[in-house]
Amino acid sequence: MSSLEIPATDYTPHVFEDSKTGVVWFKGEAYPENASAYFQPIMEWMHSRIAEARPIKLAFSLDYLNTSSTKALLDLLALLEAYHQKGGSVSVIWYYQADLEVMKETGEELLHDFSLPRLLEPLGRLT
Amino acid sequence: MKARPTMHPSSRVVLEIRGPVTQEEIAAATSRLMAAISAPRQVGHLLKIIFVEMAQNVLKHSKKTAAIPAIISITDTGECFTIHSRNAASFTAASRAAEIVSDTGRLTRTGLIRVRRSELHKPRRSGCAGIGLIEIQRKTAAPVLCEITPLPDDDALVEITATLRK
Repeated sequence: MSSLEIPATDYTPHVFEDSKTGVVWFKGEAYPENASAYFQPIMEWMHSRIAEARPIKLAFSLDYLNTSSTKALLDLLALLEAYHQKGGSVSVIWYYQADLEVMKETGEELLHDFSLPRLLEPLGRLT
Repeated sequence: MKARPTMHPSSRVVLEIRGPVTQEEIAAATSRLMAAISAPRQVGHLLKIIFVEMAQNVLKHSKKTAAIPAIISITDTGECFTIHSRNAASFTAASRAAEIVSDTGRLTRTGLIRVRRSELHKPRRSGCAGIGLIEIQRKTAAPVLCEITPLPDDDALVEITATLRK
């Protein structure tokens, strides 16, 4: 299976698979005009990975995602939830800036209806 | 209730875009906005959310842009930011937007979260700005205002105003 690599733009995230860890990262902004079309190749890539029964680790470090992207990510998580329910290995980490409570809430709401193993991790917290 | 923002003497327009709105222009305007405002980071982020949702709503629904240029503006009134959009749309889409704003304006924060979640899990539809408007409603301190004015050819002028307290 080919690796996943979608470069970032001013309004779409860098999506890639870290070849060392196998983690699929989503980094940056996520407010494309047509999120469904933007996420389509990512969905297809996930389908391929599920067909190979491989473990899937997702990490999100998003500055912002619009409602259209939220809906597309819910579709992606629903696909992974079904895989998880059938015994597939799936985990999700949601990183958020510690001073942006709204992005923590976004992660909580996004994952609310799923049983996927998840971790919400603050970044840049002052100690 | 009028959707047009009231200008206070100390008000300052921090962003205004006119004409056919594009995704690239929204992204560039978002960057300009983040550089131009003076507000706590959390407030700035909420302003970005409201602006992008409103601008993409205009992008999706605007009609007759040559005759009626879409306008999106953000005004700093000192205590608040006022985010305002004005564009022509089909009367059906405009009426639906007004209905959603009216229905969700009465909801509590918990109610808005519940409605948003329910809408997000429904199949995709085109021609309606529902979830974006709900998202704007839940990020603001005061109810969102929406005013529609009928236009010829079964179209309407839509004006939406949201207020974000600093």
